[in-house]
Amino acid sequence: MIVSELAKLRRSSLWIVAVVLPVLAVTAGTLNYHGNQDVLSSGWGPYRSQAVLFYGLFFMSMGVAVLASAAWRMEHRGNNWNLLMTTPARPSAIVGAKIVSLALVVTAMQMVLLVLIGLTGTWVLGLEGAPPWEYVPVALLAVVAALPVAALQSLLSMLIRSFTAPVALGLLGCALGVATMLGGEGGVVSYLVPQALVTSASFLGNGAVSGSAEIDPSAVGAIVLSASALTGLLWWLSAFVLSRRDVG
Amino acid sequence: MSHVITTEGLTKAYGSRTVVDSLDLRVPEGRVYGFLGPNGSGKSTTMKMLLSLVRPTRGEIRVLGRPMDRRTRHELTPLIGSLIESPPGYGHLTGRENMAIVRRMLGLSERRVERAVATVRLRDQMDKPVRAYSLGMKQRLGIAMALAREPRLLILDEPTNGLDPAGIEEIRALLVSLAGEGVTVMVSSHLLDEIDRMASVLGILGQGRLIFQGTREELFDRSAPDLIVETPEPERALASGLSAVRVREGLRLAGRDGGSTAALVRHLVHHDVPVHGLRRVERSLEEVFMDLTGREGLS
Repeated sequence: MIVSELAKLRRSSLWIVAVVLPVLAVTAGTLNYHGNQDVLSSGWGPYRSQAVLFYGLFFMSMGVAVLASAAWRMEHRGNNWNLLMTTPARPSAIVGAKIVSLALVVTAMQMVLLVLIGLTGTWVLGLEGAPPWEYVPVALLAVVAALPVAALQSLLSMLIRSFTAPVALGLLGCALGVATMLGGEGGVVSYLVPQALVTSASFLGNGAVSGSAEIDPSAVGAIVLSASALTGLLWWLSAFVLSRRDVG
Repeated sequence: MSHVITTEGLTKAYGSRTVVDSLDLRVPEGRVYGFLGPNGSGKSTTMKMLLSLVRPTRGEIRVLGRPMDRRTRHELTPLIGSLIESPPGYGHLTGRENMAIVRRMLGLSERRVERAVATVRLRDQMDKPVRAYSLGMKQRLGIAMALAREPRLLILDEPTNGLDPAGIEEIRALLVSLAGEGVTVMVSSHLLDEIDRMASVLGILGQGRLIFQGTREELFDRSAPDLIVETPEPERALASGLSAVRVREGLRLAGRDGGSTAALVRHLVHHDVPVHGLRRVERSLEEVFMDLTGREGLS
């Protein structure tokens, strides 16, 4: 199923999203860093903080929402639902393959972000030294944290034929995530709202954002545990809904 | 005769609206079963229930000897080729890439896929993106996807939609030859003529109910065509109390089956009406169909 899902991504518009969003984030971050050099201390840390600021708050979760809508639109169009549901694949495999393929695109999006941060920091801003290696595991941790967003948006996009409605609902989730993060409410709520989890993971070790945690085993463990539980729950729910739902 | 599809009281209701009502289908093995009915009569919903795409409100379905429901669906679907409503296909991918997805999802061999594509004569179009296909080409691709499974049962909803006359003839010949090889074909169409020329068994649906099921001959028997009494003295027959319409040859009588025709002959002899001939009016399947569906026709 996963190979079939990946085959559907060939020449798909999903890849445009995976490139455009990091470009926007890095452009905004670079301009912000360049324009506020008198306020910000110099170096890779402050620059990365600026680059992932809007990305962690909105762009990444919204990107996942758009990707999920685009991925399910392929099934809603024409009668591909009929094709999908007349294969021997079980509902859990069908929704699981969608979530995994979304995760792979998100991983690619993260890699584009890292490469752009590295290139811009070195060649445009002339930052000293190589980009810190810690950025790679933090970026991958954000992918893990994005899994519940992928599962949630996949569920919404599976149920709602409209492209924009699930994205709008995702925006609400982002607002909730930002509110919990910046309001210092954090705590349990930030581990239950999928979008808040992405924000928390993106800002690990980020001094520019209040409420962000240090990179330590307990913070990483909490994010991984929460992401796994939420993804598992949403995956099961999606499969359950699909197994009972009429198609077409 | 063994049946590949049987349903008992198959019903689908959306709220208070019943779209398919208590169907007892019997689709015999190795035959082309024509599923007829006006638009909105419930054909597509019925076919979706047979594939477990839509869950019945009531009733049971057995396909290939096994119950068909959400638990058994994944065991049966590899044996069933289907095309429901408009053909599937990912528009941004080529025909070849679409067939590769189907091949992977079903675990089919390359050879099977190649054969299915060759059967629908689409080999030269496989490297074009599906969004550039005409409706007829999409329909062929959809049929190739259904055939690639080398199914024991084909469920096709309006498979000749969008095809030109030559394409329709090809598909018709294909379905008849598949039935000859033992594949059971259930095909719906709004083109009565098409069904008439390929199906040996018919199911006619009207407002969600099965109003006829059987062979073409049984259908004609069930709806007895009008009777023409050739007589030079129609007035004498009418004066004897017969209810009939005058026509050039004599009289035309409706609703006379075998028994009442015999009674009619006795009546005419008794009243000394000269009878030069007695024959049934030749009727098309469409006329029979319109009789059964209350002149709704197929549009």
